[in-house]
Amino acid sequence: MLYEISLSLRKYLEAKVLEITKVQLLYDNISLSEIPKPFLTIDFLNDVVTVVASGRSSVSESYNFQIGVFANSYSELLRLKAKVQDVLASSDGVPLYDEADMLTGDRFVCDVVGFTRMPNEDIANETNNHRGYFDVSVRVLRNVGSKIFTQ
Amino acid sequence: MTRYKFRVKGIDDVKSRLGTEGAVDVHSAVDDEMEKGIKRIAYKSGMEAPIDTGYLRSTIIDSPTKLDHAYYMYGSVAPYAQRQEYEHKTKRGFFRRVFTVEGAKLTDDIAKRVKKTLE
Repeated sequence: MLYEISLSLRKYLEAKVLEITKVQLLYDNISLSEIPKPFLTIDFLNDVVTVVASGRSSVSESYNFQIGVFANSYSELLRLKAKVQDVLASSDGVPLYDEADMLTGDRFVCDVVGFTRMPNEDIANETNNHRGYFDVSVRVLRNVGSKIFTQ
Repeated sequence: MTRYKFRVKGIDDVKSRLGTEGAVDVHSAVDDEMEKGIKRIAYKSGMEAPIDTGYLRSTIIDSPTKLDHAYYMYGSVAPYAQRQEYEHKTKRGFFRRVFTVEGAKLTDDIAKRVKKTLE
């Protein structure tokens, strides 16, 4: 499910937050300095899998992400923060894409835990000005081997 | 700054159904289990933290503080702790990764302990 959820979050944020230039999934050795601001980043932290039924058939999974907001100015950061928070916490949920990049018709909701603003310690690095991070988790309950889930 | 809260619900309900003696036992059992759990979480977070001088690690491991009954706090006083937690190249998320995994275990431990106390 991780691939599908990451892809869906990226597409959803790109479609709903029109101010941003890009939503970048973070991977090893990526450089953010070439991306024009404002942009968002999605960074997968960890997942917690718990077996919830006898026979090991049903699992509860919690995927934890940190979503970075990089803005041009302080006021833009605050506006983007409010917008992204509303979009992520929307009760309508995020449309789920499958591995073939097609809409499945399902939607999932996210828990937004909080937002942390990060001060820039290196004035030479302008990419790091006006940035902050959301903690977001997606919890799903599904049968092992199945892509159908409940929340 | 983001704060994760770990809440145990339903304890008041359980206590109201017990006599005074039973309620005192459960009361201290939950506190014991909570203290053990938070100390374990703080220790594991410290061991996962990036190390340069070891200051960050030691501040985390020494941090668990009791604020009230079954109410504990842990973290770090190092000024760069927040930056490391969110942006360290390989070890970011050392608080959150441990908390999300161990928090679930702590819930189980408290439930088991309460059950045992009531037997």
